[in-house]
Amino acid sequence: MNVRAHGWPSHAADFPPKRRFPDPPASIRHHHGHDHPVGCAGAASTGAGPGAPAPGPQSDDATQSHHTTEVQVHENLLAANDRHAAAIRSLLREHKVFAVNLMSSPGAGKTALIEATLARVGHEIRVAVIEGDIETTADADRIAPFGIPVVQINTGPFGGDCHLAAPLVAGAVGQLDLRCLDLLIVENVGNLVCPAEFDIGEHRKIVLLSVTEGEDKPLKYPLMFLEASLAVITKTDLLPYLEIDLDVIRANIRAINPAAHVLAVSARSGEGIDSWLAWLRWGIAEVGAEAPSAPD
Amino acid sequence: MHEMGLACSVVTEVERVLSGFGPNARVVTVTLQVGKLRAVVPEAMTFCFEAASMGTRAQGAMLLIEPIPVRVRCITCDREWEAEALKFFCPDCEGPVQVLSGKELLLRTIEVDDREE
Repeated sequence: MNVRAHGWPSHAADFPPKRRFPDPPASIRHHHGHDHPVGCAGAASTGAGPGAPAPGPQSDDATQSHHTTEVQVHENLLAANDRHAAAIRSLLREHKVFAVNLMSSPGAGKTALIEATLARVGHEIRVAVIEGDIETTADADRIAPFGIPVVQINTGPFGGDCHLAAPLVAGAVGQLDLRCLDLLIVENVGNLVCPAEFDIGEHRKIVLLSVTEGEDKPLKYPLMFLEASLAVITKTDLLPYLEIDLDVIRANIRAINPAAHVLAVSARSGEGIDSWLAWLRWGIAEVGAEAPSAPD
Repeated sequence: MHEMGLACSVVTEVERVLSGFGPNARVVTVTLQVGKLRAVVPEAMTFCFEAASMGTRAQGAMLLIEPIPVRVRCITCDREWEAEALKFFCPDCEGPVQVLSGKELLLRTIEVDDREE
């Protein structure tokens, strides 16, 4: 992993907060029919140190050959990611920064939408951008001329992660001065599948779908559209050249996620950008109006 | 979709649990609950677990994957059903639905053979 920063120096080198998270609750069930609290099967209950012969539960009603212990774990496999995401979210809430996670296939126009956004409101709204890509600083280089803070995350030089995970984003957020921000735009790695799986501490997930990708994509990649609060159909300036029905795309998005807002925009012509900016302003106002709350 | 990363999480958790047992304890089975919305391919998960557990105390354990069906409820009329297709509206009233289950990604149990040798 590699995090490259443009703009502000780090003001929060101690991010993420060094918290000791408690181990998940667990209980232990022996197959010979009774429960023990965690730890009783191990060294702790007997006072034996690590490396001591296994004390284990006594073999009162189980033969040596069939003596197994079932440990109830109930651990979410994404728990480590989700803890980082929760830490990011509470930090953003504390500083009243509205954070969006832009996701789409490669080439759907995420960076172009960010550029169009910055061109319109870069001086009015205090924005920072985190760019996620497998390799290159191409996207951060496109954002740099706007003079706003931008951090490029590269997930790996020879084919790294196909998505941003919360620990990487936490490192990038740590390089930003959240006190001077209203809006944080995170541009995820171009991929219509995996980014939907990972909470990165954002307030809203946004999926972009360009008209050239076809009407059926919401049905083919449902999790992404199910997770998003807002779907932005991009490159509408190309519609005259395509056999694509915007209403069919809208209907397919609604079939997966009836609650999602749907916007149609063209970063090139400017069509729909006002609605997009209005949505962003609504989000900024909503987060700004939130009472400061305890971390989740 | 992220079977290798998930398999590594499973191995880490198994080693954490095993640290509470004696040095000869070994894992017999590991049971996961995986929601059907999670795009986890069981064959890939099993393969990745074998690879990720090699050389660890989880090596040789059998991975059991319990699929969790996608259950949804209509927000408008309260009807509850198991979704077969990914069309998230109510067949009765066409109201929007909420997902009740299907996104699980849980390590449920670890069965340890802890007999003394």
